[in-house]
Amino acid sequence: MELTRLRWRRAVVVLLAGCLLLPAVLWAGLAWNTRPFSEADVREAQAQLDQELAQPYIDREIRRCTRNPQDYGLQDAPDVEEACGVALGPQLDWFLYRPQLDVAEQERGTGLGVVTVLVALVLLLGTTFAGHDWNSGSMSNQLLFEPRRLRLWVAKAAAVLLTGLVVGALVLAAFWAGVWLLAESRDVQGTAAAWASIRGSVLRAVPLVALAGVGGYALTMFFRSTVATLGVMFAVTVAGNLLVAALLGDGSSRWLLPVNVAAYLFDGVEYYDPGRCTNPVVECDPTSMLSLTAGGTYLLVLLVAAVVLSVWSFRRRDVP
Amino acid sequence: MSALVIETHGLRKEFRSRRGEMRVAVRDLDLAVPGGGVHGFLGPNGSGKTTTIRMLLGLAQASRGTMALFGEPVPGRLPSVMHRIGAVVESPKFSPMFTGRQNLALLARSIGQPESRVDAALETVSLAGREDDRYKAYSLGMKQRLAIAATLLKDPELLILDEPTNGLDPAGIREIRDTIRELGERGVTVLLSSHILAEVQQVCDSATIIGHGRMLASGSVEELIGTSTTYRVRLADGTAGAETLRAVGMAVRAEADHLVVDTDSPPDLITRTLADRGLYVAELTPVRADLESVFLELTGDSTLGAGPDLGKQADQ
Repeated sequence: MELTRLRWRRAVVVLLAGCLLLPAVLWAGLAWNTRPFSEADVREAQAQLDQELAQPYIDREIRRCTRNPQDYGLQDAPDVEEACGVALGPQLDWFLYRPQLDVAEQERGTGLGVVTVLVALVLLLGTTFAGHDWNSGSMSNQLLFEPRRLRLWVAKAAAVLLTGLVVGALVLAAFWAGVWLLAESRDVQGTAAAWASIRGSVLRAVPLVALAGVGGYALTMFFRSTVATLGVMFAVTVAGNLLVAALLGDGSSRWLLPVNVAAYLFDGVEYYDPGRCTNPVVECDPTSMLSLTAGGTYLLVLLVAAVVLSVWSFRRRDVP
Repeated sequence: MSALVIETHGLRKEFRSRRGEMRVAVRDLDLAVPGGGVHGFLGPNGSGKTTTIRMLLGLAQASRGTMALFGEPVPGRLPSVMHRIGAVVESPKFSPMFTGRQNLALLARSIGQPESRVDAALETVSLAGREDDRYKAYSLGMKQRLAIAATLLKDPELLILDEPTNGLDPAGIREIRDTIRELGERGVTVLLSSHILAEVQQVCDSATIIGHGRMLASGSVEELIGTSTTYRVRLADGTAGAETLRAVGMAVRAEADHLVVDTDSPPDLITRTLADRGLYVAELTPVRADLESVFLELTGDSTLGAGPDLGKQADQ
């Protein structure tokens, strides 16, 4: 029943359409930006290369290298002149600027973009779903038919969760299927390890998307207003990182929301941790590793706090 | 099961205002509504009617006291009796972008009622034909009727209506009152909350009057108004008329140009008694007491229908 209520909401339909369209746009952008070079592209690059090779300083530099290859570390090259030409002269691919499709890179590139879009839209979906009931006053009417508040809260949360799971799974599966097709068509298949890593991050992204919706729903059930929830989220986004940094100083990165999301999604993440390098004389790596478990626990604690607060408030407070 | 459909004992609702002051919306209210008929819940705005209803329906928590519906303590056992109760609290509240039918269909599904029930409810409140319009396009009267249709989805034994004619035009008011009377005659117990005295007097069989969160009086409308009726009698010889009527046991008071007669007897007894003595009545006008005078007498308050609505503030 709550799924029907959710489905009938126009704002929800718009957000669901966004969940389909925006990833499709991102995929199309990826396909276009990494399209193979056409003959015209190669011709244009060749013209630029020829123009560059005609510059006298290049010829001068190559001759200098041929005379003293040891200055360039090429003294052992079988053909010194050719080696100097390759090392110092411009190459064709310098003028072919467009990156080519790399499947492994997309996990933290466009793939992350798709997850971000889905998280944001499903969070809004959960928010607007609950906010509408409060804004229209229909929550009290619903309670006159189902007075068990916990049951009503859970039914609505389940509708948001289920929608988030289905949307997340379908859209991410479709997006990566699209990337696979693109890679196949261009004969640039990713490695088995890359696909395994992508599979893992997708499996973690689907519950992240769904639980973001539940989080938005829970907060709105607490604040009883879409605007208030969005305002708080905006404030947290803008001021949250600053506040964490101000309170925790050098060790703050570990507690930043984006770092923890990345740790959860990508099975651990390296983050900047200047606290590790206290002795300026000793060389050290100022990064630490945040594990999937640590990131996931952080996110789970936030969600549980929002849910507990929301349920407690809904059960205790008078309903207008 | 108790014969009383609604019972409250020492019901109290306190809330803290935004300035931090403690205010009392309902003050140790004892309410008893018997089964059957239409029971008025009468009081000025801010007297605590809505807050009481909201506590009964589990929308607001009582600070103190006990409540029971159909003999079941609420809010603890509210889920077991809610299917027997239809209620409209304050203004109707539905999703504005959904059609009337969609709004009712969602509520019907939540209690496992078939779609046909929605059609029947829409038919009963004369909304058939407009059911596929969006709720936001409805007039206030249509919104009220949709709210009543929602209560009928359950086939309720108890109907709680909070100011159901607020904001309606005269035709809408009449329609709603007729519906309420009809439901009462069909055996549904109706609790009609209103600050309109005439409405309660016209529609209700019994009533409870509250003011400032306290119960002031309760009983049948007849009991509240009183059975004796006062008549204004004008005749040529007032002195002789007064003596004649007093002689048959009527309470008579002489005013400047007429007599005020207080009696349980029918008016024809007055005319016959006077005529038998050759005294002929020039004017005989019944001056019945009404709920308004009863209310003003009980409260000493002339602010009926005015003033801040404390009960509604409490809900915010």
